[in-house]
Amino acid sequence: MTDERNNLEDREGRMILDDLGRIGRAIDREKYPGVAWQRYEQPRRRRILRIVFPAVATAAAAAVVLLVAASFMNAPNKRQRIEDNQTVRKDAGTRQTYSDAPMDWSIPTDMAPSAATCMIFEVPQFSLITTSGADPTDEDSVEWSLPSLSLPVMPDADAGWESLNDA
Amino acid sequence: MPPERNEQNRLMDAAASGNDDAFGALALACQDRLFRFALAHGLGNADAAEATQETLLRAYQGRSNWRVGSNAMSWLYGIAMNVVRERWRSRARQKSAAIDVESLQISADEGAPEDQDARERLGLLSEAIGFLPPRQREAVACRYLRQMSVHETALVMGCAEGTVKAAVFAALANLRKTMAKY
Repeated sequence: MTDERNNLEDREGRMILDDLGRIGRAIDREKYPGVAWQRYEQPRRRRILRIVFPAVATAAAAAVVLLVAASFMNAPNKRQRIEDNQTVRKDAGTRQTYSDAPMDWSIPTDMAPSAATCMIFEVPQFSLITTSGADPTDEDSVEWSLPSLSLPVMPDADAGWESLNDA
Repeated sequence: MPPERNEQNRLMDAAASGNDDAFGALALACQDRLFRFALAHGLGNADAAEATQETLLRAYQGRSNWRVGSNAMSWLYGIAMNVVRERWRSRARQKSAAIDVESLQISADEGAPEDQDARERLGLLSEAIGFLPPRQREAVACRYLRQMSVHETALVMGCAEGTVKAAVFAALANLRKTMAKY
């Protein structure tokens, strides 16, 4: 029994040594990947990168700063455009307010009428004329006409205000 | 054809006296062996390549410490041993230092395993080596994977020959015990 165990241990021991030899011979076939000078070139490339990369990074950072600065410089213009738009809208509202306000066509009382400035308008009469058989409520068939628009009657400068009244 | 040992010593003598061309020739002659040394100690291909580069760089920087008459290859292996140890120390979390058997080309004409069981056995043995204590692992790698003598192994590991023998004996016992479980 003891002899068998010794033989077994020997056989296992030899097998381990054989396997170690196989691994060792397999390692013997491995080659260093790359010759020495190529490996030594790598640090040089790294040095170049260490010089070039900060320069590129600095330039990129400067470009970003310039872009940000330009956007800030454009910002007042944008605000101005917004203010302009608000002004336009404000003006439009004002005009709308003016147009909505009732118009005062009366002659101011403190303004003395004179023959040179006074003009009398005949208020034009608008009339709705519809073609025969047309529906008055239909906008397409309705024609608006301005039948009589009298030109303003200028007072005779020689005749004066009284003569106009007489007429 | 790599230069002979005495040629390597001569190149290292010249490199130590300031001849950079001599050191370049020595590096070209020794780089494959240093790479295999790192592989045998469980580093992967990329790590082993970096360890080789680091070893040659340290040798160049420390060429003034070279003592004329020493063995250049043993001196380089000693530097490589320190580099490998530092790499493992920096990866303290990675406990296993198994050799990547799958990546090695084990050819049939040199007794490669024919069946899947034998290939698995090689993988298990590699795993078992990786889990050995560091000194035993180094002794096995130097003695059986790099076929170094006890004297050279002691020089590389920086210990006495008796320590190497004891480490090898304990390592084989541990490997036998581990492999018996499978």
